[in-house]
Amino acid sequence: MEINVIEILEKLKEALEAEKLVRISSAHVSGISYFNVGEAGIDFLEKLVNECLKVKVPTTINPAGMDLEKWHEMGIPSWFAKRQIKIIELLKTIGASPTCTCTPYLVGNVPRRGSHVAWAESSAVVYANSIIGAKTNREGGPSSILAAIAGYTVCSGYHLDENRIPNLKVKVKAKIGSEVDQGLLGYIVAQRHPTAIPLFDKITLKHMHLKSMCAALATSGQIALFSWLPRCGQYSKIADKTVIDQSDISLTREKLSTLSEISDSDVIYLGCPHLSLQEIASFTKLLCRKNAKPKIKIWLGTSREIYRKCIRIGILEKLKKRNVEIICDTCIVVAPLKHMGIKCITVNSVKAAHYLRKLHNVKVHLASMEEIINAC
Amino acid sequence: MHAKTYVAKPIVAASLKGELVVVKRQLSFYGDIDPEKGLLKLNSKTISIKGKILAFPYSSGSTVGSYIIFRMKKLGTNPKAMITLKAEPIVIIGCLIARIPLFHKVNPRFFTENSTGYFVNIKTINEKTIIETVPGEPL
Repeated sequence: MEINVIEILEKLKEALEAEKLVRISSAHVSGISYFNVGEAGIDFLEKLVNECLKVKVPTTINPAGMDLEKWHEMGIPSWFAKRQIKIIELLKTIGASPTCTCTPYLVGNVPRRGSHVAWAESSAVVYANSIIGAKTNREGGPSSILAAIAGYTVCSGYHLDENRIPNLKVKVKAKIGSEVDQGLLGYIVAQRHPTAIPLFDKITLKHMHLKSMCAALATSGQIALFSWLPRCGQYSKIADKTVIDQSDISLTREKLSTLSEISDSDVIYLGCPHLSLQEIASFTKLLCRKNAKPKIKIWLGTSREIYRKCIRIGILEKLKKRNVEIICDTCIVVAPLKHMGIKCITVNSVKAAHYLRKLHNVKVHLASMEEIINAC
Repeated sequence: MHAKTYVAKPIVAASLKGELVVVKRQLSFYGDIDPEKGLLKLNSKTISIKGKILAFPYSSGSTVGSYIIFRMKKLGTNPKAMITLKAEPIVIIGCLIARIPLFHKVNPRFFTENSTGYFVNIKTINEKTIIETVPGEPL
């Protein structure tokens, strides 16, 4: 039986009680790792390929379950690698760009402010809505692929301006000094108000911290959009309010850190969400300045595009000398850790800490990039 | 025993008969169902849904659920139809791609008045579905 993507979107529109479909300018697809989607995902993509369906808008994809080139060095079993490569090939046939990153906005998928897009990957959704000012719902893997093929998505939820008005004031009384603190702040807000549109009374301008918070807001809740003062001047009009103080931050940090010392970890992972070139460069600079050669293996996670830039500007060489490796196309959260012999991990990401415990049952230590460098 | 009758709205329309499996809570296709064998894991019990009519009030969980529904169809382990209160995108996409009949907006009483093992007769005419249920063996 043939697939009619517009029919599916029309049915979704009816079920969601929306008025119309809206044209999208780009798509970002999640559910790429074989660890997550398994044979079922391959079946689905094969069906789309067999029907010769192609994407109509620029389409990027989420991280795979392994580095597509260095999977062997990562300790990935070959049965897994074979099926993972199959998924990427099928997506390429459909016309998706094999970016394998959770930060499409760092590799050229940057929508215009106000434009409609269909993005999956919850952290990128928050980033697109809040930082870029594009409009997207929290699409799922299947719905984002179908939207990419149709060039349309259902015009509901966050596509409508009336649903994008902040409805929760957040007063930050804690000291937010690192990307971990910023992530914890987002995590607590979303835990207390899982579907709110928070308006923060203050915000950092550090890109790494913002990325970290975008990811955390979508981890403990389903937040898709936030704003801040003075960008949004509605603060006094909002009735609901939550206050985050120092003890909230410390308690949540303790709860998420199940491994007491960095030194007990099998691996240290930085790159949830994927690191930008700037973040990798500043990490390298700090490590070199300290002349540190860490004893524990450090993995930096990023996209292949940024990895190539790192080679070009000589960062990769410097890192290799210091026991630091850049792995691309993947993320430790969607890698088959059980088969890689990894049981204890240090991360600088609240999102990663949450999912590593939940999905992989590993022990996690939470530390900021700065704390990690100091411990090296 | 008299048959009970309910009205529903078809998303993937069909008329068919079959044996009912009722889930009384939210169902996550990713996690609650083993697509390889067509088994539903409910608390400590495991029930086959292959060839049955699966009814659940709501669904939730990972969007991989759509893929799971399609995989069941491919393997032939799928339920032959689904009935729900409010169909959400995971189920709609899964059932449309797999062409598994799907009905929603059934009266919530459906989930308290019927049990697994009941016999169901579904008739769809012009965007309207009538679902009849009777306990026990088919009439």
